[in-house]
Amino acid sequence: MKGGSRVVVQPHRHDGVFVAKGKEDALCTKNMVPGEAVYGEKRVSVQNEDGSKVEYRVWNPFRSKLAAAILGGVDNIWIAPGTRVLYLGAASGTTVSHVSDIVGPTGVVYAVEFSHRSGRDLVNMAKKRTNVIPIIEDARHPARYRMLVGMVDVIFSDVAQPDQARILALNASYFLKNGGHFVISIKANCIDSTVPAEAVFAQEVKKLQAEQFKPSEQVTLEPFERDHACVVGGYRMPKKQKV
Amino acid sequence: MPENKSAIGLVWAPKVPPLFGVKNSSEKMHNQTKDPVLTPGTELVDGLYVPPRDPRKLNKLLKKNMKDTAGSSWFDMPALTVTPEIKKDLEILKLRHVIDPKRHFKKGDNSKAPPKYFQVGTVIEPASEFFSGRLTKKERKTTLADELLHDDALKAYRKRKIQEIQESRHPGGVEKWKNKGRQTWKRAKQRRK
Repeated sequence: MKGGSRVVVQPHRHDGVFVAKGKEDALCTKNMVPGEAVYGEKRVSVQNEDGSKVEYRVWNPFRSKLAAAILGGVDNIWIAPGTRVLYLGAASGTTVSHVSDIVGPTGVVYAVEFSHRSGRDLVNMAKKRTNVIPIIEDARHPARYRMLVGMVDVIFSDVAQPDQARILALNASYFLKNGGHFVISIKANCIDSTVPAEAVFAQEVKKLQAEQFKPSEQVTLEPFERDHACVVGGYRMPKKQKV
Repeated sequence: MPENKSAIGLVWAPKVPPLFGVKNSSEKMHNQTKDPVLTPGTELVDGLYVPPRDPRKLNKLLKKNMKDTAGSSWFDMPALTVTPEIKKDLEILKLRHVIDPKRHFKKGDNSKAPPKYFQVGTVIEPASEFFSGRLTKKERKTTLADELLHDDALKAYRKRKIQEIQESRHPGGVEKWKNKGRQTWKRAKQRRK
């Protein structure tokens, strides 16, 4: 897809996500700040029949694990227009900007990042996006930012730490609603580089199950990332009523 | 004229509205029974539009006037009116797996019907790809079909493929041995020697 080529933009199976089809396909989100790219990505500009202009931003699966999970065929990402999302491990805010596009003006993204250096980019990105709340804090201590964050529907975690299951559980106990959902990206090397990746994933899923999480599916991010998996599930799910 | 006879009163007949010439009488009756308040939605009262009183009709009218969109889950993406050019683009998008031999696509949906909700846009490149990932002004075209047809590399492949197909479809035999009408019959015989 070179600049200037024509593409057809269609809704994707997931809410708030689009596909641009031309000579090749690309995942897109609707740009909340038209005319501006966040990290030097391509954009697709569309002129509607009534003269209004709409813009989409191309979402690179090699740079974003959430996009890789979507292309990997995950059943539900639970992030949709209007949802409130807690994003742990926001880094410089490339994926966060796309999540902010998906939830739209009615949703909120709380982006937590510990590093000051990449947090600076995150804050600069959040200046233009009203639905992103940047938090430069350690995700291990949710009590420090409990005053900033409300109840959320979904937690996305991409912290790549050996104790990431514990971090997720701690944040979920503070902010995630009962029957809410989590999406966690697991990098096998960051947890235990001595055992095979599948064993690490199984071990992490076990840890999550012990913390009131109910993992429902796991996809590997294989062509885009090596030895990564994305696990999706629910938190404190209500018991099914017997009929 | 049975109507005239009954009017005189010599012959009794039930008072039934006449079968023929319904137009006039029914129109009159309609005018009499019409309530001045409950007018049908299409009519004007004193030259002004009055919306229908019936909530069902009103809802139907509102639904009809609403724009068709993909819904709030996709930020109300509108349904585009399909012009011949856009139709051609969508068709070529469906057949793009035969256009380039080096490129492979996922199968996508099998539905024959064209997509309902879509938009046609132009890619804007970032400044970093000004020299590497940009079409020049001459290469830019208004439709996707035009763009693919003007690609030189694809043109050569397409030409070769069409020639191959034409040759394989061509009937067998040697061209110069064929009889073309009666007059060549003799000469063809000679040629075969």
